[in-house]
Amino acid sequence: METLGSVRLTLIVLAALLIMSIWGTLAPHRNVYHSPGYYAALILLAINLTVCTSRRLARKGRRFRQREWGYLCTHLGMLIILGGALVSLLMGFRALVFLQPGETINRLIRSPDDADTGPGEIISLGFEITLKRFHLELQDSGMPKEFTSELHLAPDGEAPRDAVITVNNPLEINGYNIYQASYQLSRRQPVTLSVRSAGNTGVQEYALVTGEKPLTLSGESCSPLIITALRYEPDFVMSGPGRFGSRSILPRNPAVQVSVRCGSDEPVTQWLFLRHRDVHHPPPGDGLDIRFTAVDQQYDTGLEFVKDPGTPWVTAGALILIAGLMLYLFPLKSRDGKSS
Amino acid sequence: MNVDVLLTRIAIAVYVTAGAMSLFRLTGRSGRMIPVIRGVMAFGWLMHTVAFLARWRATYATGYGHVPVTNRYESLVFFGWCLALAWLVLAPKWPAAGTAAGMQLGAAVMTAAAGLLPGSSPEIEPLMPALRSNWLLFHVVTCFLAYAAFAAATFVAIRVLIRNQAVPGEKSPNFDADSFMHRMISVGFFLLTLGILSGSAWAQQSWGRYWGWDPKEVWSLITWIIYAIFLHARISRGWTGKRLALVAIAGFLAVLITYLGVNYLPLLQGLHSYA
Repeated sequence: METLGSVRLTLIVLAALLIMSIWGTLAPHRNVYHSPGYYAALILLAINLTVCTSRRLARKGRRFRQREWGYLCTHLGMLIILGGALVSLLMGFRALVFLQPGETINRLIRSPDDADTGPGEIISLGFEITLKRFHLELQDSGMPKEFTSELHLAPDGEAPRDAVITVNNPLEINGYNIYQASYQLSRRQPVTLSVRSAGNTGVQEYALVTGEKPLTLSGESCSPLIITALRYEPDFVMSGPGRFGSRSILPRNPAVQVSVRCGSDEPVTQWLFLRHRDVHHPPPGDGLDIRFTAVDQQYDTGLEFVKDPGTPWVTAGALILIAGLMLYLFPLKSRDGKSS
Repeated sequence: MNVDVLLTRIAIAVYVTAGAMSLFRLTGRSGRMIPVIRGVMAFGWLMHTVAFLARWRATYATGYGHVPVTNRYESLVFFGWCLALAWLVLAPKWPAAGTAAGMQLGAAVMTAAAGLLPGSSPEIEPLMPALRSNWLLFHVVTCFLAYAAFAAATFVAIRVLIRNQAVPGEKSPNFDADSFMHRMISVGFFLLTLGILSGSAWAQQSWGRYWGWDPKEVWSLITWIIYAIFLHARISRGWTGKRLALVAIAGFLAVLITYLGVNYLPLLQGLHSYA
C-alpha cells in the first residue's frame, strides 16, 4: 500500500508514459497507445492516484484548507477523466460514412479501428438519413473554404425533417452525434461527351456517368458504337507508364477515361481532356471523333457518426481538474502555500 | 508592405536592441539601465500589439474576420508577442540580466522566424472551416501564454545549469531560482492544462472525438507529463538545483517539438499541420 500510493511510483509511471508516448509518435504503426504496456501504465497511474488521494483524505486531524481541496479535486478530476476515457474505449462507437447526393442509409458498419468487437459489425441506426445536397467550396490552394451537408431525416415513428450539418456544428439524433468530418470526390461523375463519326456530319452531345451503364449508338461506320465512361480525374497527371492520377481535387485538368467499342472490334481505351480537346491518349480509331466537353464535379460528404457515453465523464473530470489546479496552484493565502 | 508586417519588423528591431542592452549589463558597467530596457521593451510590445490589431482588422477583408493566430506566420508572431508580454509582466521581479536577454532575444527570434521559416507567409488567408470556432481564441491564447511562462522558467533553468553564483550586473544574489521556476511552471502548467482541455473540447465539437492520438496532441501530453513530473518532484520529493533545472529544460524541448517539431519533422506529421 505504501508503495502503491507513493509519489516515487507516480514519477516512475509518468516517466514510463512519457517514454512510451514519444515512442508512439516515432513509430505510429506500432499503435503504442493501445498496447498492453500503455494500458498497464494508465491502470497503475489510476491505482496510484486512488491510493494516494484516499490516504490523504483519511489522515486525521486535518483542516480542509484551500490547498487540500485543490489537491483532492486535481487528482479526483484526473481519475474521472481516465474513467471516462475507459468508458469511451469500451462503449464508444464511431463510423465514418461517405454519402453521395441522393443516397439514403439506415445502418452503419462500425469502424474497425475502434474497440475490439471486430470489423464489419452492422448497426441499425433507427432512422433514415438522406443526403439531399452537399455544398463544397474550395480555395485555390485546394483547401476547403466551406462544406455543408443538407440532409433529410426520417426517424422511426416520428415526422421526417430536414437538417443541415456544417463543420463545428454537429447534429444530434437518436443518441448519435453526426459530424461534418470529411469529403471526397464521387466515384460517379456526370460527364458530357460529343461524338462525331466519319459518316455523320452533325455532332451529338451525350451525358454519361463514370462507372455506370454505357452509351450505345448506331452509326454508319460502327454499329453498334458502345462508349463507356470508366474513370474521372480532376487534375490529371501521368506518373508513369500506364499510371494515372490527380495532382489535386481541383478541376484544373479534368480528364475522363473512356472505352470505345466500334462494331465487333476490340474495345479501345483512351483518356479525353476537357481543356485539351484535340488531345487523345492513345489516338482514336478511324473517322471517330469523341471529345470531352463538360463535367459537373460531384463530391460525397464524409459524415462521422459518434455515440460516446464517456464524453460527459471526461467533461466533468476536466472541470473538476481545472478547479483543483486553480485551488492548489494559486493559494489565496500565501501561508497556506508553503506547506506540503 | 502591409502595416502589420512593417510594425512587426520594428518590434523585432526593438526587441533585439533591448536584448543587446541586457547583454551589455552583463559586463557590469551599467547600473541604471533597467528602466531604460523596460521602456524600450514596452515600446516594442506596443508596436507589436498595434501590428496584431491591424492584422486582425485586415482579416475582415477575406469575408470572415478572425483573430490572427490561425497559421504558422500568425502564431509565431503571437508567440513573440507573448514572450515580450511575459517579460514585461515579470520585469519587476526578473532575476538576472542574462535570462532577460534570453526572453527579449527569444521574442525577437520567434517573431522574425514568422517571416523566415519555410511554409510561413504573411499573406492573410481565409479561415479553414474547422478553425471557425469560439474555442480558437481561448485555445491559442492559453497555449501560448503557457509557452511564454515555460520559456521564462527555461532561461532561468539554463542559468542554473551554467552558473552557480551571481555575476556582475545581476543585482539579486539571493534570487531563488528553484522557486522562480516553480512559480513559472505552476502558471504554465495550469494554462497548458486549459489549452489541452479546450483543444479537446474543440476536437469534440469538430470531429466528435476529444482525443485522437494525433502527433501534436501526443506531444502536448508529453509536455504536460514532463511538467507534471517537475511539480511532483519539486513539491513532494524536494528536488532542487540542476536536477530540477534539467526537467524544466526537457519540458521546454517538448514545447518546441509540440509547437514546431510536429510540423517540421517529417516523422511526426498529423492533423494539426495547418498551424
